[in-house]
Amino acid sequence: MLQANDVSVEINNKTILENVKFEVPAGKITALIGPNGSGKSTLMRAISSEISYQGKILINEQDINSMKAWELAAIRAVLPQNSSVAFPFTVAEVIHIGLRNGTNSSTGHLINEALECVGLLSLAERQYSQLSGGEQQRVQLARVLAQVWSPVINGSAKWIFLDEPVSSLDISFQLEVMNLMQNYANKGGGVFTIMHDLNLTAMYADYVGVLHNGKLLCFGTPSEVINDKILSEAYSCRIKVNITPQNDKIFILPQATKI
Amino acid sequence: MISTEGSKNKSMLNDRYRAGRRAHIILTFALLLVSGFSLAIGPADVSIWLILKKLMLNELLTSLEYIIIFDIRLPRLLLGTCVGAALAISGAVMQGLFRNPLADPGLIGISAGAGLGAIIAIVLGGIIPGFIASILGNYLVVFFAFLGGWATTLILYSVATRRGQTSVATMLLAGIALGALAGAISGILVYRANDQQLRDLTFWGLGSLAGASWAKVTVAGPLIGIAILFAARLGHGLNALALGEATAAHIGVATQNLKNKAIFTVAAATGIAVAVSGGIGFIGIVVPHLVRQLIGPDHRTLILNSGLLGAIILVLADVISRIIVAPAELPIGIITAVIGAPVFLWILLSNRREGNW
Amino acid sequence: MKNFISKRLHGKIKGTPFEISIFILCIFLLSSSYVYADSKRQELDKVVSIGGSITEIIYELEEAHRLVARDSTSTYPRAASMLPDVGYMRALSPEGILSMDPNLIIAEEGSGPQETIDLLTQVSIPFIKISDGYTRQGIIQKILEVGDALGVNTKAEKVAAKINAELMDAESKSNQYSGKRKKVLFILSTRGGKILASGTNTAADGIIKMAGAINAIHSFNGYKPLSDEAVTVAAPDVILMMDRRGDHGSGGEELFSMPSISTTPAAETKSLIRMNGLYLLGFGPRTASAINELREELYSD
Repeated sequence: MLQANDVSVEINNKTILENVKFEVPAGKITALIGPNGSGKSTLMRAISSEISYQGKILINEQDINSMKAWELAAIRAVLPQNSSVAFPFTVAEVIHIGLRNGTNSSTGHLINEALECVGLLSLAERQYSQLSGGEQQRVQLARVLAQVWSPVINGSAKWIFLDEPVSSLDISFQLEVMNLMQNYANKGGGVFTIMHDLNLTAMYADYVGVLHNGKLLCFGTPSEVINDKILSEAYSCRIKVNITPQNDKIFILPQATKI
Repeated sequence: MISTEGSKNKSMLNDRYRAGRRAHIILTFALLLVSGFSLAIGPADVSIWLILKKLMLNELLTSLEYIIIFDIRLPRLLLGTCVGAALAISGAVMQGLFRNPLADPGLIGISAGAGLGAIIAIVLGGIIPGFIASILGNYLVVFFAFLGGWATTLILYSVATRRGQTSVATMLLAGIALGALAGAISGILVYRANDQQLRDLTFWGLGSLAGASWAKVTVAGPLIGIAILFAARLGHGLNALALGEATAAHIGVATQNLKNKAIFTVAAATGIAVAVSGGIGFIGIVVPHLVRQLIGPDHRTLILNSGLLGAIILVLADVISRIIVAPAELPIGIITAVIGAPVFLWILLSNRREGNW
Repeated sequence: MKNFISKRLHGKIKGTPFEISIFILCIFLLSSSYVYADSKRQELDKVVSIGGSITEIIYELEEAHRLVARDSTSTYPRAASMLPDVGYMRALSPEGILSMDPNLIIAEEGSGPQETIDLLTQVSIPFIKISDGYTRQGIIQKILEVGDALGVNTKAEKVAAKINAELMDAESKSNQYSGKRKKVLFILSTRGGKILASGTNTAADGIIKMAGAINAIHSFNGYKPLSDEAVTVAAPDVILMMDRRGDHGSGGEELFSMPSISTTPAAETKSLIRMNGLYLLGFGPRTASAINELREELYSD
């Protein structure tokens, strides 16, 4: 369970987040959507313990403020929007750094499996900095997966937090990554992700939260949240939610004009 | 199919790490070899084999033999090993901390502060209260250089640290400002200096192991040894830092703790190294980079290997400085610059070609 | 001891042959102990000389055959520069000196560092420091001290006497000069646009005075950078500098075009004197000749 109780963040006397409150169960994919500047990244940073905030954030009923860095690393992994790696580390080394254990045989095995998941096993010995942006993003995902490889341990769920994980990927990889996330959630892990793409959100999310001007506009299942009214208000432009006739999938299109 | 490919990859992952560990052994042997070389070679006509024979047969050495080997060459070798290791390790740690292969220990203000301390001791030596001066004797400059290095590091650290978080970017910029300030104060003091003091300053700036003595070794050795022990354990943390500060925290590294340890180990090691041997340049930048090119960037082995290689290079440079214009001596800073500058340029050019940055 | 015996013998000078013999014996023993000490020192045949003027004095005393090495400032006479060079006198390295296997080191005041000196004395090599002094007496003292160190006191006294006479002659000629005394500004270097000039209490100051001129600067000690104003206020008639190697008599165009210098009387008459550094400032055997030469350059036109 991921809980946010009255989370507020103020930076330079400007209120970025105001009284955000929600509860997210493990075993589901929860997406956070909203326009740029609505505070999505700030909320993610607060949940990832990067910035200070008012209120309470609990993972598996533990206050994250009271936990040390390594304790948090044991129960949650964070995929940043982009990340560069200084120095010529190889792909395998990058993933290995993300693991807290020392070098042993099971670690190597884990790294390979993680790379396999994202389809990059053949690039294991390549230098990370020489990969394309999309490939780098997938390596980071492999690292994140390796960090919290077992979605559930002793009845306690592990969590993956993602900040726009598919923005720089080709469409086929976008689906692959989302499938990976779904897989993880199905096994009992928790997934909390900022999403830019409304269609993918509609396809994969079990819960959706909409941020607007630092406030949580609404939070619920896609059927509750993804409708014309809420989306148009959040994004300040006319949005129409449609259903494909063939397979009952939701697809969302903006209409050309702004409200 | 997958498992064989997997195990191949797994062993390749360990390859660089294992190569790094093997390098520890190879470099240690090389250091021992170079040390023997350094004890055996020098302008004085003293045969190391004869001395070894005498020692084994429990015969007395002549006072000349004793002085040359035990009072001149041996402390010089030990000091060179300590200083070379301290500078190279500090460079490796700094590069990890600033996530940049061009970082060197001077970035946290140590060299500027140490230089200022040395100038104060050389130029204002007469003003320092008699009893302090008599206790320190010849080591007045060493003491003040060390104090100076620490003072600037502490100032920089407190400027760059807000609410328990150190910003390395701020440290970099503040370091530039502090360096300028130290330069200005130095300029004022240099004005007050007489001709002899100016020459002493120049020689100090060029760096030398000629003043090596057992006193210096017993002060510098343990301090540098402790700093190296601390630094060697920063390996995993610095690896994590390479992924970005935020990510390092996410994967469980206590980043502020890491920064504190890094900054103050470097301050201790470099501070005392610069204090006892003056300004020896290029070791801090060039040595870690060589190791990175040859073995890889994994800090868990990089730090110790840099230390070993730094020691080897400085001891060799010292041998050159002692024989190239014998019986005079070339300040060692000149030799490290002559070797280091072209290597540094090569680093820059090869990095640009590879498109690393 | 001698006094004791002569007092005793005062009234008995016509005394017995026995007493006279004793008298002669005592004198013989005393002078032999003096000579004995001398000869011990004379045996020291592997001498390292530190300091340009010290080396010159050793050559003047005709003891240069005992030299095995010298420092980097010992450039005169030419033979000296052929000897092995142990480095700069303030940055000596012990092993380099020891490799010359010396049994005596004679060093000018200011040699160092102290750690090197300590190490050398530890190996029981006599390290004798010669006092410095920018006057005639200073030079004489130097010669006597060097002579003593080498165990050639009698020769040293002769040489000192000769040099003393030369110096007194030079100085009296300077004193007798009846014309207007010129103001001389000694500039050590103009590197970086800064004018490093000599105040009082330096070798330059000493030599200027001995040549019968006035140091244009008297407001500070030692070598200091001068501000443009200070140069103008000093208003030197002549500028004195050391000559750069191979750069003899390069006209002072660059110097006189400096804004501060261009306002001085020296610039108007383009009066620049350059002399070899060791010759001019060494305060050694050649100083009398340097004084004369400087005085000629100053006052004969």
